[in-house]
Amino acid sequence: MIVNRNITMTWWERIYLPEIFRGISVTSNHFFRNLIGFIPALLNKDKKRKIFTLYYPDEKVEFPPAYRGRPVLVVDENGTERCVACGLCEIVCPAKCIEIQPDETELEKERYPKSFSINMARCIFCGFCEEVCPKEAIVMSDECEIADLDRNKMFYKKDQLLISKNKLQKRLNYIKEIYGKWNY
Amino acid sequence: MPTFTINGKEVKTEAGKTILQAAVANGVRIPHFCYHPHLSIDGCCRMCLVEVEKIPKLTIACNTPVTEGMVVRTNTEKVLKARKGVMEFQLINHPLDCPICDQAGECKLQQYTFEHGITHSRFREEKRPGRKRFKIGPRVVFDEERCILCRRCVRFCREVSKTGELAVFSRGDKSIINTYPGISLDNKYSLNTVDICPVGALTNADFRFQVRVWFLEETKAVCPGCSNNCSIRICHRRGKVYRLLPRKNMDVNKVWMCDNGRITHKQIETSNRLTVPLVKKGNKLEEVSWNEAFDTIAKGIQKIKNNEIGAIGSPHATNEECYLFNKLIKNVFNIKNDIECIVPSWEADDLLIKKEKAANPQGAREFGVKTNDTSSVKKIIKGNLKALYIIGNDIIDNSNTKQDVLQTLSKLDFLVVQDTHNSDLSSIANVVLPSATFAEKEGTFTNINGFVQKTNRAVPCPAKAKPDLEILSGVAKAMGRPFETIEPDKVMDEISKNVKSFKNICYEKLGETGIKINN
Repeated sequence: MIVNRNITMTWWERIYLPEIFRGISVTSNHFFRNLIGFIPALLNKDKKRKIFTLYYPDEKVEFPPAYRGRPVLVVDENGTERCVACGLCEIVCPAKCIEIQPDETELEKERYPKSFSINMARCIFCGFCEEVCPKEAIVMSDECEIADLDRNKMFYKKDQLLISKNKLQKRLNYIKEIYGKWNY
Repeated sequence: MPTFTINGKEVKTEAGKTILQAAVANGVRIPHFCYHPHLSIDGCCRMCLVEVEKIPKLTIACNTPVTEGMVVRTNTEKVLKARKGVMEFQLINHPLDCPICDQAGECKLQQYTFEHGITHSRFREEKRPGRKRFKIGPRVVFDEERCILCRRCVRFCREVSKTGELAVFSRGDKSIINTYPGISLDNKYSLNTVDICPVGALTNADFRFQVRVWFLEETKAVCPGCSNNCSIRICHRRGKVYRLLPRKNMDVNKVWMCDNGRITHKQIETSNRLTVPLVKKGNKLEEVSWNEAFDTIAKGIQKIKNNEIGAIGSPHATNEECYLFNKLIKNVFNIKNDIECIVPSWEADDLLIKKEKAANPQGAREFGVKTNDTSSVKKIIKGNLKALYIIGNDIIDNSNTKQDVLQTLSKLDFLVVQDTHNSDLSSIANVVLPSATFAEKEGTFTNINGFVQKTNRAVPCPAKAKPDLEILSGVAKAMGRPFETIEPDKVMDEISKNVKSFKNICYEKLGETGIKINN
């Protein structure tokens, strides 16, 4: 099927060759920088390498706040999870990987998750749970190293999911901005 | 019969009907909170406003009788604007509790808010504070803040349960539902107020926070609590039953159900369920396979003379089970004695609760089973009996005679107990057959007035337990005379051929509410 994307090229683009050379210059720029970019760091230990690849896992990528890593539960200042086990993430999850057992608590919030488990082997990192959450209690963290050799270990229990609010502040600010009250 | 126009459609309706009733009968939906078809009309929520020609202001549909030539419009801009205004007032003091509220998902206020697109509040003052999770009765939890004062619960207690515990106290903004001083909402029907509450103000203390309602599947069934056989819905998820709700059946229970009926599902998941067939070897009951259990019964029964074998049926069994048990005893075991059964009883009232505390004593009587109350147990098991086949454990229900009965039964040569739960009775049996509770089997029940209703299987049997029909056919097969069929609908066809009063009954005709047998 031919999709008409309604793109009209300018005269400059239509003569073809200048854009081709521009593309080649970008590629060769990256190539030569990776080829010789490590030399300054080699001569002087304080200097940072200027190449584009990282020595993983010694060096870690700093993810932007929009990155969707594994979903985690936010722990508030008072030390308890924000989650009230409303069950919206459980029903919205397209991979059906969330399971919650609600229960009553003496706290003011009345309801809390007695158990909360996410099957990370099934999770597709869509972020629907975060979007639907009325309490901003489940957010996508920047952790992506969750691979394991045992499927049973991929069932993340509540204590593995709890992460304090301070560590997630960047993402919390970001979701407030994009899923804020009047943004729809 | 007045003829009137609703949304441009000319319809006829019965005389004396209100606009709301006529609209519902003709498939027009009018939002409402306080109106309930089985309670008196209050007209306090003002949600059902409609436009009627020649009436200058909007009028409430629930309390305006239909007259000849009336022209009603339910979806004009004026009506929608007024409804939105009413909704805004309802939401002034209603907390944003939906994530923790148990009613979410079946809440009228939530539904109408969503439908009318009310996304924000213009109210800038403090919401009215109130008591949260206050135990207004032993089984009901009340949340004062969520209440929208529709007074359905007040009217229910005055008109249906006729106990009148609830009333509206204070006036204006401060008005609040409460019980009269010194009493609590403790009547036999108190959980119906939870059902009819349009918001989450009244919640079931037992069901609270157990599961979200949108995860629950519903299976149409029949309440096994007493011989009234109320129509119910079994709400279950992943093989666990969470609650029982009444189902509309005007012949039997209207839309109500008693509190005792609602806890009958607790028998399903208890630690003392029988889950595997047991056979007594030496002095101990040991787990065996079903075939071994059936063979043991066949051998044990064949050793004993026909007139020394007795049979006690269960008033909790379905019609099909009663029929097949009859067939097993009369045709396969060739026993001439009558099948007896013990029916436990409790205090009846004039609304729903009937005296016999079992699902199907009437059905058992239709099949020629003799029903007795618990005091006549000793009379039944006296005599020259050497073997006994018992379904259920109602025989030890009466605590006065329990020890005597157990002593007499332990002297028997051969005792077969087919039951759902472990009891003193099953521990002295030679063979124990684990059977299914009401939610785990399909069949029909006959209520005290002769209404036959179908009940469906909601959850699977635990472990190796089997529905009674399969067990009875297993025994018959081991005796060498297997039944033709054990499918409940086929068994019912057989019953309608052989039993006179069930002549007009077949599964296709039963529908959801059941039909009456010929007497």
